[in-house]
Amino acid sequence: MDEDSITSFLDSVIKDELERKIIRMISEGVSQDKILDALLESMNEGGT
Amino acid sequence: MIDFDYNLERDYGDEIKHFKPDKIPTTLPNLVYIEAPNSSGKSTLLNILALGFHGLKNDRMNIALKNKMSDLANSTHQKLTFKVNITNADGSLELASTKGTPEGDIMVRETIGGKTTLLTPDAFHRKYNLIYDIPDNPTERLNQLVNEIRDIQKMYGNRIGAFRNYLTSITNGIQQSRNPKRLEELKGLIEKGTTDLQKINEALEVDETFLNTIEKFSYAKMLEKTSSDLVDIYDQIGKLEVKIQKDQGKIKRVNKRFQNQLVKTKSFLSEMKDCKQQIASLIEPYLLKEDKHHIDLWSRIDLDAALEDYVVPSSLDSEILALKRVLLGQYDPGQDVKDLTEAKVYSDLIEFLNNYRNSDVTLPGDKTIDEFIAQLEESSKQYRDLKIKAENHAKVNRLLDQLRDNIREANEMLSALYKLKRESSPGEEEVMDEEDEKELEELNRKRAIVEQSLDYPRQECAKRGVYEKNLDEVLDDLESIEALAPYRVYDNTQLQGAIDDMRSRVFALQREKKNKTEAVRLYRNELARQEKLEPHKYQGHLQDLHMLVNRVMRLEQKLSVDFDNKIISVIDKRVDKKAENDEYYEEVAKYLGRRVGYVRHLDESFKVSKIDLIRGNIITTSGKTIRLTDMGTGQSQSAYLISLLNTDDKRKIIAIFDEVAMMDKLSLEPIYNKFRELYEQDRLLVGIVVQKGDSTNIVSKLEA
Repeated sequence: MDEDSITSFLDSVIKDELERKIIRMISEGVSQDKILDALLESMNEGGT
Repeated sequence: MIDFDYNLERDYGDEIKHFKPDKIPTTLPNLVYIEAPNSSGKSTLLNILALGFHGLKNDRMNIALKNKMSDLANSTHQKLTFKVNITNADGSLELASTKGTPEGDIMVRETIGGKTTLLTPDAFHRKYNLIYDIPDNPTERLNQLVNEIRDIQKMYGNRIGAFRNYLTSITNGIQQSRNPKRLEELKGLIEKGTTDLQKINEALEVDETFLNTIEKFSYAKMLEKTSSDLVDIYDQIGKLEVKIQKDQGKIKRVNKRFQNQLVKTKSFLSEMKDCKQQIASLIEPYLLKEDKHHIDLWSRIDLDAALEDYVVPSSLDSEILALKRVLLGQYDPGQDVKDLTEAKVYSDLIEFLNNYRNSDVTLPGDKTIDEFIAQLEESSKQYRDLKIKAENHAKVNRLLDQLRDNIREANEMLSALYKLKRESSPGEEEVMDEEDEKELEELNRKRAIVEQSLDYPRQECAKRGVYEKNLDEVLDDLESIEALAPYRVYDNTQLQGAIDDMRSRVFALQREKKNKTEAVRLYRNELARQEKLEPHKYQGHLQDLHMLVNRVMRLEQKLSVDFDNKIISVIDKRVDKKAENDEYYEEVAKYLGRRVGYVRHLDESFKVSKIDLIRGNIITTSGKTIRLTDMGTGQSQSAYLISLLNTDDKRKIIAIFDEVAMMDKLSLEPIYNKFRELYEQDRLLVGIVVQKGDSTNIVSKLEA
């Protein structure tokens, strides 16, 4: 399976930046605690 | 370079045969086209290559090929050993797969820069993309790419679901941890609760003390009044008994008209006596010390004497006038007219609103009628003392006026009675005069009732240390208490009302105290529990976490439900006409276009923009629309195989394509071109294309 191609495909159908960020990290196999830290940081920066 | 060797021992029952790679060279270039006749060992070579690189552990592998690999590896009639070595163009990477004994495991080792690592199947598939396929029914196989989208979407949906659970466990953890904000809040609540409790206790102490005082005052007054009534009755009984004693032995006969008038007059005088007694009990609080002697004068006016003298004692009229003067001098209700008007407004409003208690009317200020009545009743309480003082003042004045009017009427009745006594003529019907006995009987009945009613105030007074012997002294003390001053004008019923109000107030405060004490206790318990807890790492992010849980849940729903339904409709080719313009379907078509890249059709090569599986079209970047059904089999096979190579995947590819017999040179050329492109980018390690031929022909595809 070509996960990377499908991740790119999902990136094109998901418009929300935070959701895209989650998909990217999930596809890269980032650990849950690191995903959470990254999302909180991104929320605090007001980026998403 | 690909180096391989194998030994396959096959048991035919009557003989065992050994197969070795003797028809195909054991050293092959990385990109190669192999053409060979049947039973030359080309499929065995491909199966060993795929098996050697953990092809059986590849979920997406073509099932027919997987069965062949499994047969080769696990059949009891075959024993296989092999070794395969692959090196990349510059020799920096070497992959080696060995199966040293028929029963032994397949071991894959990767050597990079002289360092060798053993790769488990999972580790291998994370680093290498093994593609082993036969391009049968290629158009239909495009659906496999769509299935891949579905599988990945679902897999991500599941991972996001797990992430949501993780977030929920974090928020639960925070709620079980020390919360500094809540700690401060609890300290504030305890401090406020303690202050409130202190105020409630102070108010309760004052109210309870006052309740005890007013109860003592009320019971003492009740005892005084009942005792005084009893003394009066005894006095009347005494006088009547003396009279009856005096008349003993005489048979009293009177004419009937006189007798009737006597009964009427006695009844009237009795009502006057009640009125006079009521005045006595009401007027006392309005008298100053220097006017107190009027009470004594008033009690000494003997209305019974009127029946002897046939005229009401003149002292009654003069004392009425004297008392009215005293009353006028002591209190003028006009001075409180403003407050009394307000009190009347409240009481009239309450009376009026009581008629509408059951209606659903909401008054301005968002109050129900019940709430508004309760507020009016609370406000009107402040005027209660004043109102009672004014009401009792008016009442005693009214009773004095009434008594004065009664004097005139009584004198007329007495005069008529006197006349009848004198006009009595012989032969007139006479009756026995038994009025005194009847009156005595009535007085004794009253005495029994009053004596019985004395028990209650006597018991209540005894509980408070008040007895007949110290009653006057206690009352003097109580009346000197400033707080009781307004209650001196209250009669017994009014005092009871005031006590009931005070009791309600005390009960309300006691309830409030109980509730507040319980609340403070619970706050203290929670504080103690909180203080024992450790603060949570994400304590300050609780709000963000709640928000995140919701957003993650939405994404999970999107992938697992919304997108899944859409991709299923693409697979089933049953997309609703109205939804065809949905961006999702457009992006699926673009994705398939990217995967296929180029197609050959009618001897021309086209760059693919989109593949619309729903309508069955390939749309090229030049704007041409080619129906999938119009594509030749070889061209479709070519498109499909290229789609397998066109990935964004960073893994190195090992591509093995078998049985491409339906593809001509022109259809195969794009595959070789793609092989070379990927090989030059160091993304392809091996590219092998195999088809059946009459003779063995090995062609390197490293060069165009």
